[in-house]
Amino acid sequence: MNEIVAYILEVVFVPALVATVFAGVCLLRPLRRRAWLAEAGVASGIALAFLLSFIAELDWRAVGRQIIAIEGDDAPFERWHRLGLVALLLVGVAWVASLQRGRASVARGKLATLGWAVVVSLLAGVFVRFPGSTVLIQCLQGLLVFASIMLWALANQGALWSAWVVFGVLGALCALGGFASLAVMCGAVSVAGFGIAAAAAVLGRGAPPAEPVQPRGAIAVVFGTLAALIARCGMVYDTAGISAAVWTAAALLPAGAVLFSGRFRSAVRPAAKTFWGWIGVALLGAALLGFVAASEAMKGGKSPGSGDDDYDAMYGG
Amino acid sequence: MKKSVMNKPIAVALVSSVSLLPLVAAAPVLQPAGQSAGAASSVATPNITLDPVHSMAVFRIQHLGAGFFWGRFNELAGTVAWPLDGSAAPVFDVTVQVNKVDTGSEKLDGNLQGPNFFNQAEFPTITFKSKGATKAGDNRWTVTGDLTLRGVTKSIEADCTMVGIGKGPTGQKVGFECLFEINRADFGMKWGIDAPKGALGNSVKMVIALEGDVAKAKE
Repeated sequence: MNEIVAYILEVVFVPALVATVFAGVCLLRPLRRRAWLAEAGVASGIALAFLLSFIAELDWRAVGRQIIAIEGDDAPFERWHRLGLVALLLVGVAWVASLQRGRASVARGKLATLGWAVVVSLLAGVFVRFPGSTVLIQCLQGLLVFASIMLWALANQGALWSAWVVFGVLGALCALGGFASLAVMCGAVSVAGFGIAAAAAVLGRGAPPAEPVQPRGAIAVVFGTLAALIARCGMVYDTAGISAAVWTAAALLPAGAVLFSGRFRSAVRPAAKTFWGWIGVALLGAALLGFVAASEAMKGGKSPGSGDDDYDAMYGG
Repeated sequence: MKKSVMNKPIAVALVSSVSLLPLVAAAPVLQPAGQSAGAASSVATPNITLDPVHSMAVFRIQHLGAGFFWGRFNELAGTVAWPLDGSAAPVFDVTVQVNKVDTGSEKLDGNLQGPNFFNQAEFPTITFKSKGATKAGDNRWTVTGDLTLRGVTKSIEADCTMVGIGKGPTGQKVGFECLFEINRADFGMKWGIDAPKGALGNSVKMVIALEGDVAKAKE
């Protein structure tokens, strides 16, 4: 098998498949009647896709050395590896938050989501520190996580199908920014996002149709935290000069779903809401990538043999 | 009495998160066992200051199991302690700036500075500090020292030669050339060795060309 195909399978498709199957089990009809279980499955599935890809790309010790000293491990402590630990914690947060929402009334459930958003944003601001961090930057990072979570929560029906677009755009930006490892991890999350959304749709068919998965609560918390911190990480380690505004916009792409669902209020059927929400995110994502591509093209004057094709970029030139 | 709807869920969220705090809080202070605090100071007083314009570090690595490509670091600084009569081995203290890597391709330079390779954002310099040397010939020594790359310090051996002593407008100059080979995986730079398999070689040959200004003897 071609080495590059084997690599992509190992770090993108296998983690995505495992995550999709894991989430899919929670979306099966008998279990789906319990909304909190579907919510937990989807949310933890996305975090699991990132975590498995992270471990496949690096090593389980990359996560382990963030919290303990591992005997015989002399690999460097790298701050961006904190993302692996974040994904691991988000798997747990997904289950606790979903269970808590499942036991609460609708009003309390909304407050619980808000509470989790505040807590996770604070933790992300305090404990996830990339190089060059200052108090102001950490505050802004926490704010970005909070805003991202809120937008995913507000994106409503469009959120589930939007995940693969948002993480796909983040992956493309990472690849452009010279961060191949994070790009493949985003790829895994994107593929898992697509698989999980498809599983939610397919497994909901039948008579009577199953309730659509409400992408709130733990789903918003996990999607929002992961997207915002990936964007921040990509921003810090970017070596291609992609602006901070572009990375921030990528983390806030679910705004497209919010804008479009507001614009097309006549779309009352869930399928139509999902479609327009997805269209909004996809259009914003395409515009963002188009802007970056145009900016790259305008830079021009590159040295000959600069290895512009994907294959060269993947192989470090 | 009317119960608040917000207390319980937020409290559970807070309690659950706070329970994770010790786990996360411990993280920033941990360092891997292999990272030393820093090499001991040189035994001799440096009398040669490296000229950054005429000094450079060049590396060579195999690409896709095929050809070798070369790159260089355009900026390095440091000192050498060496008596011009050659009565003792040179003691090197060299620092290379990672953001000055130059392969002739802007995109590849960016990739090399990124986290998959040198991770310039976290480890902006590469350093070498001599620890000892044995004579290997006329003006030639096998120098042992600590190479710190990506925050990992390993002892290496470099084959160093004093290549010439000249005189410039600003005074006396001395040139050295050091060659050594490392496995980049030893320094946590594993991308492209196993995954994607064989994209880039593990072995990296380094050539360090140094030219320094000799400090004038005090009157």
